[in-house]
Amino acid sequence: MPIINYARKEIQFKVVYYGPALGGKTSNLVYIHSRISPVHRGDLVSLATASDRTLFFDFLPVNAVVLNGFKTKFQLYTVPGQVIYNATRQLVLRNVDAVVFVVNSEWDKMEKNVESFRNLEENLQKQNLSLDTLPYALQFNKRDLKDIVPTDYLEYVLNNRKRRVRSFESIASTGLNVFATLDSVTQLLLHKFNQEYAQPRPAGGSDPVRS
Amino acid sequence: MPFFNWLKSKSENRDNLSATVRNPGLKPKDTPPANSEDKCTEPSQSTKLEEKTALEPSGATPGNLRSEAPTIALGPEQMISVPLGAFYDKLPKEVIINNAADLSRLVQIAKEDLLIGESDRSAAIPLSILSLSCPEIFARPIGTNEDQPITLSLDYQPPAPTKVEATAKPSSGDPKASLREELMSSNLRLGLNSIFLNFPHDLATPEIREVSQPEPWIEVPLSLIQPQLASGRVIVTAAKLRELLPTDLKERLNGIDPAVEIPIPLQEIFKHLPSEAIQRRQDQEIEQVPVTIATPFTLQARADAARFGSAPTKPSELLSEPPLVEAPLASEVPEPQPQAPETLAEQNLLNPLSSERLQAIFMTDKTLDLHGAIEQIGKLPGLRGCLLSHQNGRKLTGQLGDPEQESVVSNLLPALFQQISDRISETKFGSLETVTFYCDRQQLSTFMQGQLCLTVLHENRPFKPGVREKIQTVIGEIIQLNAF
Repeated sequence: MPIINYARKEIQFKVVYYGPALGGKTSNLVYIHSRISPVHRGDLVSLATASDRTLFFDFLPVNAVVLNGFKTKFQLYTVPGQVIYNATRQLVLRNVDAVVFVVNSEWDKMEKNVESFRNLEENLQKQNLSLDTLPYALQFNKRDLKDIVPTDYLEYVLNNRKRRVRSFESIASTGLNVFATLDSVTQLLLHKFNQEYAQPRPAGGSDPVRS
Repeated sequence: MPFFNWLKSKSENRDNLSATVRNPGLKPKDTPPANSEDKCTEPSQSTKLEEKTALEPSGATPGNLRSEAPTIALGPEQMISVPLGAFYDKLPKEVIINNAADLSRLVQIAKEDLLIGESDRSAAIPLSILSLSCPEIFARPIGTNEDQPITLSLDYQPPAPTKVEATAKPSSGDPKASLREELMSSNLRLGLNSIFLNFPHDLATPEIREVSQPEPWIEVPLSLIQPQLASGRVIVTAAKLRELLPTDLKERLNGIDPAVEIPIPLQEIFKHLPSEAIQRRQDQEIEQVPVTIATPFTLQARADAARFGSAPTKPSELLSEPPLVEAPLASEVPEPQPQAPETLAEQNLLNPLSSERLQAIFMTDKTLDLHGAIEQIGKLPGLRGCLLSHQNGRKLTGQLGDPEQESVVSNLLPALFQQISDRISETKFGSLETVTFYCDRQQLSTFMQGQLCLTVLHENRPFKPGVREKIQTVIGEIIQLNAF
């Protein structure tokens, strides 16, 4: 659920990068951070734990399109992928608006991918959210490695729900399809926001949505 | 004959085993008979779905096994073989995968984990133990904090094997179903070197990891593999693997707990797996956004697509691109034409700039659009050209004469200006308005406000009085008119 601040004319969305440990979530954020003008983003903040990291940064793009005078602010988070940090993941997932699920394409990580995806479903369920409705995209990362899992199988394992979402082959370390994934999930997010908030607001409130 | 009666009758004859059942802590005095796997047929013939019990009653034949033999039998190495169907219905629905499980499949369970109640012909086992014994049917690992006893029916009789059912009704009328049945009844021929090389580290001995040439093969029923594919791993028990191995290789698994799970490398499976085995569901609804919305990340996504030489963000092969409300990519636009806008904000720039003030600055009655305004700047005294670009490096309009120069200016100067501006703002100089570059052949001045960067080419002399201020004002007007 986005946070709408009418006083500051600002809408805030939360996008969470989810996936198994060492899948490339942090690399995604590092790349995004490096490519966005410092004027329009905050610092990349790493909340380091003993053996993993939770990353968080937010930024304020000016050329937003959704609004009539409303600025959009996106908060991008990653979660620690290791199984033991589930409490942290649940915390980070709170009030999430969209998810990018980062998949490790290595053969021996397939079980971890599935485990992490199921964990995502469970944690969303605890917030009464579901992958049936939440905007999300799959990012098949590390496609530059040799001997990787074919996308057919990744799709079969991770994108075999009734709702088939967009998936991207990526190399987060170089940036291939990093922004494409984020752009895609942001489009879903904005589209959903438009649909849900396009109804006229009661008197006194202004509708932030472009008609 | 129900299992329990059989177990009791067996226990009369074999005191050591019955003692073990009643008192799991006791070890049997005698070594159990040789594994039945040694009597199994060769791998090429082991195509049936049903699995043999770990220890068959003497005199039992495959025929009477199906109808009369016990379904839960004492096995060697303190293990009990339990058909999946004996407890599948008792599992909490939220923790199991919603797949059609093979209820006749045997699961190896350590006897010490099982509490056998002799009176009610049932036994209980903790849920967490079951999740470890047959993880492929569980949607997630079960921790001990979620434990609950699961009751097994010791009288459970597994259903007749699928293969028998298939022959009973050869044509169900659904070609897809019959194709799938046919597929599932087939075998996968897998190379053994790969399996042995990926053996669990704690079990792998030099003998196991020994690479044989030519590579030996095993045939594994696809029905054993396919249901596990969705979980991202495929395992078989050591007992099952031993059963499938050629006779001369069975000894490699000597001394390994039959219940230990041996992973079958997915790479090896996918070398031979028919594509039909991983078909997606047919009722999928492909998610699409009806109209592409320009997001704050669209420009970078397209820039990256151009940089990597890939089609812009083509994801899954079946997804068709929704219609764009925006203009095409820069590379698709003929060079002399101004580039099409990427965002609605940029698009607004091309609309007429209905500002009387702007007209007053240039002393014209003509309504100016962005191109017109930039053209007017280029005609100001002492200037030879003017180029307007977005801070992301995208040229919006105007020209400096040389496309290569324009590309460098558009891409380099906004970022450079921004860096200088950031540092300058930390000092007491005030905010940065203009940066001028004096090169030995030409001079350039750059202005930046909001997301717009304007660069002018000088006629080898500094700004004439008032020109710099005028440009500054024009940019401010453009920014204001477009709500930047």
